[in-house]
Amino acid sequence: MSSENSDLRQHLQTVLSELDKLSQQIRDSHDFSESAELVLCLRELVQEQVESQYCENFSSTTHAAG
Amino acid sequence: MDDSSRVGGMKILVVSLLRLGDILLSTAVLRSLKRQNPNAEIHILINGQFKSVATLIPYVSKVFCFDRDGLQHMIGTPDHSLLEAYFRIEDLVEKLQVENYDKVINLTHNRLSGWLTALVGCKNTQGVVYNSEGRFSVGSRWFEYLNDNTAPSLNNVFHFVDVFHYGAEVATPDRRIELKEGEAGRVFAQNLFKNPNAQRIVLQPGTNEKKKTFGTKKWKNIASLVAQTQPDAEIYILGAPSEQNILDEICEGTKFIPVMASLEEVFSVLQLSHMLITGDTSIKHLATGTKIKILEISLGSSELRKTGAYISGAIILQGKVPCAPCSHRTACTQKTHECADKVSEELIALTVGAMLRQDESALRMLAHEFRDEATVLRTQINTQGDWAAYELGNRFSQDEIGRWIDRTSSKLFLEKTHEKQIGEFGSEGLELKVLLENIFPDQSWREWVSELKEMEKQVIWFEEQIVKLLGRLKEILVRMDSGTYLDRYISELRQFCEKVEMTPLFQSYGKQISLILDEVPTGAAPFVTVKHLREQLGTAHQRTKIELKLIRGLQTGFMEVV
Repeated sequence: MSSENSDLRQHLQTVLSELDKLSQQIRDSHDFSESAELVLCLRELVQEQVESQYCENFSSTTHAAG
Repeated sequence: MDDSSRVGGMKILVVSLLRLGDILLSTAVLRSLKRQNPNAEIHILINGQFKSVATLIPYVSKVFCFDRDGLQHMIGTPDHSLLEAYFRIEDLVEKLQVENYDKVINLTHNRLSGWLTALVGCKNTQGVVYNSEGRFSVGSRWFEYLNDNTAPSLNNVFHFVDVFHYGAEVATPDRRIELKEGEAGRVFAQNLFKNPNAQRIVLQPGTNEKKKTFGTKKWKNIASLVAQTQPDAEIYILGAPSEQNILDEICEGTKFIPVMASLEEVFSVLQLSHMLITGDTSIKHLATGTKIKILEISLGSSELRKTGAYISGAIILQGKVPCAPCSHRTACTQKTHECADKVSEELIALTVGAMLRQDESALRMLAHEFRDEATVLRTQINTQGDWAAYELGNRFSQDEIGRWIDRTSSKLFLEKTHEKQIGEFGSEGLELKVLLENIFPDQSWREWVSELKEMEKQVIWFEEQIVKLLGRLKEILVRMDSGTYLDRYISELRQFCEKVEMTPLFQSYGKQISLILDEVPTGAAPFVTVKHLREQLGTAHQRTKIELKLIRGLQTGFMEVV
């Protein structure tokens, strides 16, 4: 793994962990306003990006929503 | 806004946020939507990197792009603020909200699309969407089924196009992929094909996943063998501009013609060609919108039963290895690319010959001859519009019959046929009979009836077990304080499921109950657990009734022939 990839993974993990905290706050507060939904959407996008660092083809899989 | 206030009819958004192949599969739904709602305005939301496909899609008046690549680049660059990405998504959402859709159909089964669908703000949605309490719903048993069947599987699952149609409630017998040819593509293909009378065979070696294709050396061998066995044919090697190296390597020192083309051009090339040999690629789905014969090579994570060529009469070859299909998410775990090794150049070239001659018996002989290495399947769309891929040259067995009965009963259950006063057992039963006769054309009515009677006994036995299990659940309700009793029951039920999951006739039942058992949260109140189990066992009970009707109907059908 190149150091560039490693840096990207680390950066994405940090971003994801911040978004996870925010998502948890949203879930705890039951405030699913539009801005909250945007944050949750963004969180999923980052999650997919993190997964794509570990597998070949993330966006092609039809994975369960829940 | 109600429907009547729209000039021209409803406004519908279809969300397809996966890859190119998935978008092409979704176009069948767009076509059905338009046919059912001729005045409707249909929009589509796709990933921005595939926007070039829009020129090929009829029926769509507006294409929205989710700039996944741009957003992810932004998120992955420390110089950019996360807020930039947030605002960019917000911009897209605002544009979608302004459209004020009457209906949103999400054909993408993931959380990201679920939140985006929620953000569109339409109350009438189908497919994954999150509600105001943050819980996801799917709005249809068929989409629920899709959610439960995401893992790689050899089960007789339904094709995505069929699931999408039933889930979106637009299923008619005439469902197919229909694309529109552009002028630029037409001119490209006409200039490429100098001899109008030549037989043109197209090979498409590139894929986005290494494990879903052969190496270039093997493709070159395949092309050479096909050229030898079809001496009058012109051989074209097709690829995207990024695949020039592959094309050069295969064509070097040969008469093969490399074709580097855009999607629009590829579509026209396929329109004017006679045979396509390809892996599980978007090119395969493009080809289903033409009249070309398709030979699909199903390797690696390719799930032929979910995404096979959605057309009647295509042939699919799959290497016989226990690991196929594998997961998208991992690289090949074998020492060699075993599933690819099993599909030989010889089998491919002979299959091409048999397909071009339309020689059914030769195909069945090939299936028999190569049965230890590969499976040869034929695709079929029945008169109800449902797709299936069945093995040629398979041994007549209860297992194989049971697999198809289980699949049909699964469809009848998902369609809630048993809840309707007049069920569709008759027509589904007839379709099943035709399919089974296609799979086993040489069996006598006596053989059919004998096997079916045996299977009827098995279903009756299974129904008895389910009734007993339901009865014991009542006992648990009485002894609710005894957690041990419930634990023992669950453990026994799990063993029962494992046993029946091995039986093709009851495979999907077992899987369904196992899923519920897996989802029981640790420490859940016994009452909640019992309620879930009761529902699932009740469902299984309904399914046995459907299966019995099908088996008895088949028996009558085969005896009527006499």
